[in-house]
Amino acid sequence: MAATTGESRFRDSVVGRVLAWFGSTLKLMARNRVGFAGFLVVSTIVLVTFIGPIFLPSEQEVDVSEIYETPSWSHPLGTDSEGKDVLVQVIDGGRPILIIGFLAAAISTTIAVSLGSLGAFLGGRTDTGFTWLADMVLTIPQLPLLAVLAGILRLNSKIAVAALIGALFWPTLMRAIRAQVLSLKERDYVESARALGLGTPHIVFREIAPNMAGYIAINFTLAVTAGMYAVVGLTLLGLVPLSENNWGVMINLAWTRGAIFSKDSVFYIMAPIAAIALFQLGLVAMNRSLSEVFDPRLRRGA
Amino acid sequence: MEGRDEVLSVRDLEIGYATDRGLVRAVRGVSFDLGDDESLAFIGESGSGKTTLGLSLVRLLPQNASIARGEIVFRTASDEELDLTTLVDEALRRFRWGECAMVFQSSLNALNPVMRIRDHFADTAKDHSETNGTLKGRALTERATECLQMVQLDPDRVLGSYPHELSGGMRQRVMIALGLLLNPRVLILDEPTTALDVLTQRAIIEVLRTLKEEHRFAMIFVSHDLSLAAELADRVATTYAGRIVELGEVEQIFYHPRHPYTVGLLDAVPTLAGGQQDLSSIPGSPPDLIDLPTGCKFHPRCPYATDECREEDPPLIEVAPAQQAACWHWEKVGSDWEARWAPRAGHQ
Amino acid sequence: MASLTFFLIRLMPGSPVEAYIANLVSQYNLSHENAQAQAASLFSLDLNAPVYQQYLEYLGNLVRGDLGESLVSRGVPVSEIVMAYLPWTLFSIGTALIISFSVGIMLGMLMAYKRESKLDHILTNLGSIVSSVPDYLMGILILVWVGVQWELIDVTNMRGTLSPGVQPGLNLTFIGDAFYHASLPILTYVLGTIGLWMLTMRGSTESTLGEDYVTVAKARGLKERRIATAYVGRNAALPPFTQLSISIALVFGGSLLIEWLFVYEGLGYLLYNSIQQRDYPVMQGVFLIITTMVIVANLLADLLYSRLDPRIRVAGRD
Repeated sequence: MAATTGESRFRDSVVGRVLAWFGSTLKLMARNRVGFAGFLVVSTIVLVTFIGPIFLPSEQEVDVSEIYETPSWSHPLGTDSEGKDVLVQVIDGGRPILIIGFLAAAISTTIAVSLGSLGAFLGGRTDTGFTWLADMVLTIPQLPLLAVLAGILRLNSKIAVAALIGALFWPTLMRAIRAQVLSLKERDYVESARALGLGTPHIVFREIAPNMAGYIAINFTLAVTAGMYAVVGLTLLGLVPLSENNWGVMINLAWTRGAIFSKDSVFYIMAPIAAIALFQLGLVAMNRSLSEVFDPRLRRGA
Repeated sequence: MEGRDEVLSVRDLEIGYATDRGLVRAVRGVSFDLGDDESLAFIGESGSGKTTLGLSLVRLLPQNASIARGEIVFRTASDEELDLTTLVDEALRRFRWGECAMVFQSSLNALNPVMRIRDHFADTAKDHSETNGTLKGRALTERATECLQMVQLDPDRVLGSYPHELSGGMRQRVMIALGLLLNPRVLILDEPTTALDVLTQRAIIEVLRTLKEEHRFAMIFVSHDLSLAAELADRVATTYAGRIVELGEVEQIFYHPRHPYTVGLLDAVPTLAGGQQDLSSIPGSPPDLIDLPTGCKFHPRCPYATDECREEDPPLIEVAPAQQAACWHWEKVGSDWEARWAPRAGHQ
Repeated sequence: MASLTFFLIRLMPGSPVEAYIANLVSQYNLSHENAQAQAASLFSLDLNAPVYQQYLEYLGNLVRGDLGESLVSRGVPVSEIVMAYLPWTLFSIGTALIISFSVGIMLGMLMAYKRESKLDHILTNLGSIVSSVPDYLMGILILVWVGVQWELIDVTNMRGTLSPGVQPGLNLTFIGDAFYHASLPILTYVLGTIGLWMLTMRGSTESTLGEDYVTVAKARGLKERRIATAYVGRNAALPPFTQLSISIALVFGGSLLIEWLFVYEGLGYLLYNSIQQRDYPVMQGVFLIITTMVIVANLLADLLYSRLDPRIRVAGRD
């Protein structure tokens, strides 16, 4: 008796539901070829950049004799101005950027969902207040503000950077969520949940949120894009003193070391750019699949 | 035709739509003539092919439709004969609206939302200047004012307005006025009163009646509303499953119908003088135009159906001097009808 | 907006004002009072007064156009500095947006008319790819490939906003030179935003083509050209226009990086330098101006839209 309840509890729990959803999503993703290709690209990059570094040397030696080598078997993407292998740096350098991107997206999505649904649900002053806040944040040009703040504060940890970015990107999604919640608020199952005396958080997170899962997912990927844009941009300007070598830092170094203006270093500069562009392309392509997945007309059952 | 000039002559027109399920035979052999100042009403249920017929006259059929066979001959004011089935490009463009104007059902969205009404008139005049002479400036305003007055709209109020500032009925009338701008020989009206409230319907009908009386041009009405035909038509053609099943002068059709479908349509219309009689609707539903029944297409719903009807599709038979009906049993239909309404017949 | 800037700068932990004061004390051995006094004059603040009074003073100064003085260039008012850099940013961004929007919607309409054709597919994919690349990376790519690898253009000479010796004035040399120097930033902005217009316009043209008034326009025997421009184009361009505000914010934001990249002396460049040099008054002033510009640009866009779409014009008619 207890076992079955526990099992079904798991299946019904948020985690269980998410996993099941994930499985069927993969199947649906495969429908759209472009989207699936994007999904593969994204997953590959994530896997390579997160797991790859385990197999790689932690620090490369400076080998002045091998500066700016062209690609060869030992150095598939050539070397940089210190003779270090470029491919290794690319694999190494993805994780920090991606982590910040995902973190920032997670933070901004959480803020957006919370403020959006709570505001819409509670209405009145709270709602007006949240909306006003969203409008204010929306009006400010984000990159300059980030730059100014980064210049004044000392941004050492990834979390700080992600938090900063996340704190600025939530308004668009929040508005959309709010609109959705407002329309869903009057639906039957919410009424019945209310009648059963279930509390506000329960209603918001267990009844309403799952219906907007699709929209949230798509916005999440867009937020990751925006987050990466911000962090790479800030790194380029030298405003984010992260210690390790990452894609943004590679480009920054290329700039400061004049690699951009010399002909030999093309691979060094192109590699991180290509990695970033590829990842973002993959996300955008994946979005096409995602919108198909979440289009209610294609979904089967609730 | 009695001393009238014919403006339109259609022979054996067949139009089909290519769909996934097969070929939809929307018009299956329609022939008629239209005099240059007569109004002809095509009355039938949805799917009877009447709208397709209208669209084909201005060649605005959708992509998947095509004229399988038949001919449509249009005689212009200068006595030139145009084969409408082969008109293309410039010639077709000039023909549209200049010679023949089609006003669509529900003009709610028929006008460009970002342009004023006056500009709609100007556009039309400008693009037809080769055939109609350059109508612009003061002359254009005068002519547009004239047209708007013909449909009983206040030109001062309407010309400077944007479409969203006018009501549905007003927009419908603007479309009609626009249609008259170039003095077309034929005006086609597709469901001119559907989707309008009763009062506006009355206004439109009045407008059309006045137009008919005061100006010389031909009108084709396409509708499911028989009472519209009673008000405005000289001749009526009832259509069923892509063919004309009865054709005749309006009074003949209304007082002496000879086709069971026409009878059914008449019976379905309530009349004030009707008293307690039952309203009957025609049992069954229109046939599938891809998979048509054999013989007479109306036989599944017809109270007069016999084996002959199931096997052979009747052609239009002349049942009276100016009337034709496509029914093997038209005589019986006639006598049954007269028997029912004998006390009322011959009242005029 | 001014409030936000003020509070941001003033009330943050390690507030720059405090940092500056501390700096003065340690570096120049000034007494705390003297340091405060200097800071006060530089920031146009009376630091002894309660915060809200300082805030009011700040606002008062703002209204008079006084943004304080630069820390780095002593005695030079911030407003003067900002005014020197502002026009270039407006020029480059303005031109870029106009080009990007017009070309974008024309391409979008073309794509919709030739749906599913090869051209359509190529442009759609091209548009997607180009918009996936962050604008500043696009700028770097242009520098690297067009400038360095293929040596098509002389990138070093294109730095800055004007060639040395060229004087501002309403003559062809000046205008030509200005465009020459602005061409790379403009190109980068255009590439960064054009994808959005293309795709949006394609979609909206497709749906406009299905509208009744287009069919009726054909029935009225109007010329194809007129239908395409006045009936389809004018209406289909409205939805993309609403996206203009997003683009404006993005472009102003991106100007920070792009002007830095091409050494183009506009507001973004100024902001970057002031951040590097910790020139707080300038930072504050530039940020304020940038934000103001975004707001003004959005207002203009809204105004323009209401002229284009008669359906949303508010009272004032009749």
